Amino acid sequence: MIMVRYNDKIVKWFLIATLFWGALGMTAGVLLALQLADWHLNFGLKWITFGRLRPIHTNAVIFAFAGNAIFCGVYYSTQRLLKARLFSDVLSWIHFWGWQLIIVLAALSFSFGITTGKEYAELEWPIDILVAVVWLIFGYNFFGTLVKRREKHIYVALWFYIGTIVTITVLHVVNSLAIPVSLTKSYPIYAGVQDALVQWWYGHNAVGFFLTTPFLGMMYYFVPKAAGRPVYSYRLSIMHFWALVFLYIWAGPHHLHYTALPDWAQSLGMVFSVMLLAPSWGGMINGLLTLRGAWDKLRVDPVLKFFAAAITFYGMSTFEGPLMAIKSVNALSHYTDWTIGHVHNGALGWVALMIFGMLYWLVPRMWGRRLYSTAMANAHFWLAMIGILFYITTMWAAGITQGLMWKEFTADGLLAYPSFLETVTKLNPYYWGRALGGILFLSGMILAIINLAKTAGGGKFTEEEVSLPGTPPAVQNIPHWHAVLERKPLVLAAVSLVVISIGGIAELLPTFLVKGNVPTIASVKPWSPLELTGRDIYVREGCYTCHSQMVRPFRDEVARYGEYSRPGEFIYDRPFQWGSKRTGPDLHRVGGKYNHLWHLRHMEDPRVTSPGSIMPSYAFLLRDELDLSLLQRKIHVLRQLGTPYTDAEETGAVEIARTQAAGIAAELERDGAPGMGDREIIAVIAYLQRLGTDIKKAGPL
Amino acid sequence: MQPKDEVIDHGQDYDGIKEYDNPLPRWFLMMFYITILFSFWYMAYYTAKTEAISKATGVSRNLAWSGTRFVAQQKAADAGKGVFTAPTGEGLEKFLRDPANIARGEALFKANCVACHGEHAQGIVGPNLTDKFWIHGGSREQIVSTLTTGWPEKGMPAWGPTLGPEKVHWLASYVRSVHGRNVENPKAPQGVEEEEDD
Repeated sequence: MIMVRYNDKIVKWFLIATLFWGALGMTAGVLLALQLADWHLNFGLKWITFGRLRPIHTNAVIFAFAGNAIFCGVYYSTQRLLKARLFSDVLSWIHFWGWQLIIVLAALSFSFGITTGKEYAELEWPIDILVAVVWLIFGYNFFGTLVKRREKHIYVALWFYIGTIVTITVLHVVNSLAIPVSLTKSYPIYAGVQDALVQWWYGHNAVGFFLTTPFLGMMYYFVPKAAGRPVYSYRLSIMHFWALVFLYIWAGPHHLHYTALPDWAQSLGMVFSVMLLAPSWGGMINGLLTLRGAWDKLRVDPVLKFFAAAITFYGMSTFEGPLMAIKSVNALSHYTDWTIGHVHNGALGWVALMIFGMLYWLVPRMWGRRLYSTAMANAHFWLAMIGILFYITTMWAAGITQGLMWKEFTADGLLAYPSFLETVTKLNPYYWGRALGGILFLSGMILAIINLAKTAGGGKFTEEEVSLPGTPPAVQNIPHWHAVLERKPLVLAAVSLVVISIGGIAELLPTFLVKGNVPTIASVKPWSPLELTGRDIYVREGCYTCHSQMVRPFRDEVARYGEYSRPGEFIYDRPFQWGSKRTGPDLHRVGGKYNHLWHLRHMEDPRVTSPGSIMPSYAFLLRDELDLSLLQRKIHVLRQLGTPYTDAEETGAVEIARTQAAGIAAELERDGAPGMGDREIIAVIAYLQRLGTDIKKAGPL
Repeated sequence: MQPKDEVIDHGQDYDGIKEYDNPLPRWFLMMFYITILFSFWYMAYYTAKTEAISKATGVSRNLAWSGTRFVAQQKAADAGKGVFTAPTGEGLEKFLRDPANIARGEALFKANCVACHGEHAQGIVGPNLTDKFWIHGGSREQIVSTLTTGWPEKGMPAWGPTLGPEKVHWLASYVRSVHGRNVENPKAPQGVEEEEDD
């Protein structure tokens, strides 16, 4: 007999971090929801305006809340499934503190406006490198444990963990490739259409391999443990694992329907999303049917309640996803709140409820005490349920209402709701309803923290120690081809790397290599040094969180915004700024639409030019001095990346920018706004006035 | 196939977790096969269709599908409409006074003009349109001309190329209708005072 003591201390710390960041991340979410309901709640503070706070929220709930929960659940279950203590205590601690450091750096950098402007990948390059290092440490620690395992044959949960580690590494590295300008600014190596495709290949699979596969793995461990029932079907787990990891990777372009992305890529994104339905439901079936024979326990056991609800939400999300990926549905749903509702269906319904179920199961076991209060856990469950209900239904209503209003024409062929603003103010009651949903969900979370803290406080934490037979149990050979892979985890990792690479390569390479996919337009020229500076401010402030830059080829969008966007217009855009949500109108054709003074007044106080607007005030752009110190270096980096600036434009960048700024400032002064020549607003105006105008010089298309 | 609930034994202890070797539900497999068949059909159909459209219209294959669909939508919307001939003299006055045209113009004004001229045409960065002062002349013809060609150096865009002549005339009828209206917070007068030309 030998004794093995599991490293539960690291599990404990990841568990505490999950609760801590979860509460903070959701609080940020509630504040964002309230900011949309009442713009005053931006408080005129640039550090927490919607555009900067939104990445804090998304990164906090994805990488801090769900991330810490993944490490907690993976480390707990892996040790027990392999009958081995974690590979290295030191690596485990580096992993833990490294990840927390990343989270703190992320929150600080976003509130200072340090961002790459790519959704869910907003971290700048030094933090990106740190993420890669810490992630690889996690991987090394995990695979090290696999190597020293005392169970030859590896269980399905571990396949999912392996798939997660392999794929997230690939996604993170490929999407983050950039050339630094300074410690806090870089330009991606991809531009325009290509950047968009890489970004959403990453973005969609962050959902697939950070919020889905690790949680399915945890489902395969915690649900049968909690229910005390066997997993429904081994064969089903094989089939849905491989189908899921193979198909998921292809589905990214469904985030770019009707954009300037080549049509063939959009169509591939759609059909692979449709094919994803069954493999996703495979996971749901295996989870729910594992509960057969344990349904009566649902009444009394809060853990199973959370799990059953989570798996059901997973089923609903993975039905809604393929539905919204159908191009004709997407034509209505995209850029509206429907997408936000869908995301929260998955994030609150599936991810968060799985996490809560797991925590309610873990804490009593790790601290050796019964859950402090079942009544409180039940109250949490219902608060969460009603919260999600409010959230999803208000966002459905808001999204469909706004989508239909955008598309409505009068009998005269005019837009029925010509003022975009009218379609925004209409949503105000829904925004309050959504905020209420978020508050309910968050209060449930606070109940959970109290309940779990009381449970832990009343017990005593110990690392579990088990005695095992001296020789590991012999493997029974079963007649299934897959069993071979289950004994060779490194081969399984290699095979999954191949499987997930196919879709990525098939979609990304042609978009990079085949010139016809992004036909160039002769009149489209690089941004002037001042416009580039303004563009970087646009990115810094997270304007893309509310404004798209992509006029889709629909009658209503052409009537509202102008000529629809062409792929060749974006070749100098690093990063692309197409956006994914229109809380405000599209800006791709805003250039030349208003005069300079209009933009200045609008930024200073949006309500002056657009009564009822919910946009935060950007008065600080009129106060803060324009910083051109990095400009020459920026142009230099962009030249390295292939933007055709001349030598004179690089060396004289500041001079050229100052001249252009003086021109705009003179016009502003004539119109009654003097003294703006050296302020940030000048660069922003220069950028906005240029947006989408080059194509007009091209003559008829 | 009914689930037999037979435990599959790898001879391992997965922390006490057992697995059944139940078959995949038939409805589930059918669903999977149907989505796969649909996908092949869709890609084939779509590829053939785009090729055809692209050949017929000369539009690049990547935009053929969505781009031409949009053009078709626009054509269908414009179908049955005659060619607009700009009215002059008495005809213009009658056109501009027509309440239906004023209503159409109001919708256009809301879409395109309120940002600068204000919700009630009271003026923000653009001039007040409700007073008697005009920068570029307030006659019927001058209003139409200002709308059509704009004063780009002063921030007034040319709406003729964007909206077309009929919509410009609708807009003109709304602009005329707000003339003399009492509004809150009117912008200070700009330009020259003029009598109305009717």
